[in-house]
Amino acid sequence: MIELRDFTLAYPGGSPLFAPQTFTLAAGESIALCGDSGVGKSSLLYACCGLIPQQIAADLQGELLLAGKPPTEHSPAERTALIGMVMQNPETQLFCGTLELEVAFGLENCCVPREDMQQRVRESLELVGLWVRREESPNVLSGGQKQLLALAAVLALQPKLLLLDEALSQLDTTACAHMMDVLCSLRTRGQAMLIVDHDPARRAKLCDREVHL
Amino acid sequence: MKLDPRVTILFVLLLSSFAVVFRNPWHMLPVLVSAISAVLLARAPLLKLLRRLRGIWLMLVFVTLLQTLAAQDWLTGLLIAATVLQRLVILLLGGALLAGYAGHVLVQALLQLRMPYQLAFMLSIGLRFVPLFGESFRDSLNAMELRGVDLRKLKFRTRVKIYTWLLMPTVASGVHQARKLAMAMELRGFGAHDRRTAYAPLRMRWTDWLGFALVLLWAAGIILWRIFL
Repeated sequence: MIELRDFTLAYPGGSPLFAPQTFTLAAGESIALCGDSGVGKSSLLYACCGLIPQQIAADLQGELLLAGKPPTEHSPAERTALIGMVMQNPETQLFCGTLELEVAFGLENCCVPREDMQQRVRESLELVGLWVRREESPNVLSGGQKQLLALAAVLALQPKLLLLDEALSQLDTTACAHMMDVLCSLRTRGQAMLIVDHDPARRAKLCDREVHL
Repeated sequence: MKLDPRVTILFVLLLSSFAVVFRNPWHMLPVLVSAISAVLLARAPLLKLLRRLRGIWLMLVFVTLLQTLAAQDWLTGLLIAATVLQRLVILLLGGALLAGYAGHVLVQALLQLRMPYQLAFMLSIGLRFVPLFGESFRDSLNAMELRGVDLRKLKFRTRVKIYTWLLMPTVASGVHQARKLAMAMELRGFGAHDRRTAYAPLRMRWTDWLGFALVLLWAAGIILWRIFL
């Protein structure tokens, strides 16, 4: 799914964020990215989905391939099918009027027929335990519930590779345990994941190996 | 019962066009009456909107006075002022009619009216950012007050200076948030295809078609009123 060969990146006028990395993430594999705050874990995730350098200017060194091609060479539609990302801050990912519209947004963009869409919206919201609140506005949810919703919105798209950027950081103990169950079941079903998480216990449970930046 | 938002959008568009085109308060009067009746019938959240737009009332008084004073004689001035006042009130009432619908319903209506979806979402998200800017600015002010700065006790000039300092980081944070939102939308396939499907498409009921016909009849009536009066 993802191949890095001596890959690193630097923001304009800055030095490379991390030492050149070489690793491969195969289909069905799950890898944790570790390192101190500011080392470039989120930036690496952005590079994997092509947001760097397309949206955020940066100098890329080495090679990063997503399904055999640099991420920017995939069409936006291909990229959406290949990769789904849950960002750190759920506030900046949610913008629709209701929970079900939020989850449906990506499916509408991908021209999924309405009947399939309804089923996938229901499945995703049930998975994160928010189906009963489907007609409410995302604004009334707590931080943790917003993270769950952001995850549901990405899962509905059924991406081949899931990037999680501290997606469990704002969850309470119960919600976190529930999400861990969800992610573990995805992992056993062969979902490839690249995870940034500061909790070693969660990393050990969710990932096959760790990459230190 | 609420009408389909597309019928309301058509009504508001016609209402606003008449308000802008007509230059005589007598021609404008039935348009104003229609707007008030529609707001009452739709039980639109007029009071809520008026409370939010408190500043607008000062502007209305100012514009009316200015028009009266700028005219050659007091009667012409008064007529011009009445026209301007009616025009602004009609536009405000049109806004109140649309404010009765949830944002996502209006976006869906615009999409089904063949507006390019990028533009419809740009409009809706742009509107969503206005209160966020205000909230972010208030948060910065509160943070400053919590650190011991009592803004009420400061001189006007110092207060203005502080507001200017706060404005830059607020705008910068807004731009940052907008950028992140654009990235999140792109990751979920926004703009990947020329068209998109709809999760909750709007459907016209017979009452909506009746409303549509009444709006057309009303528009014809207003045009006839304008021609023959």
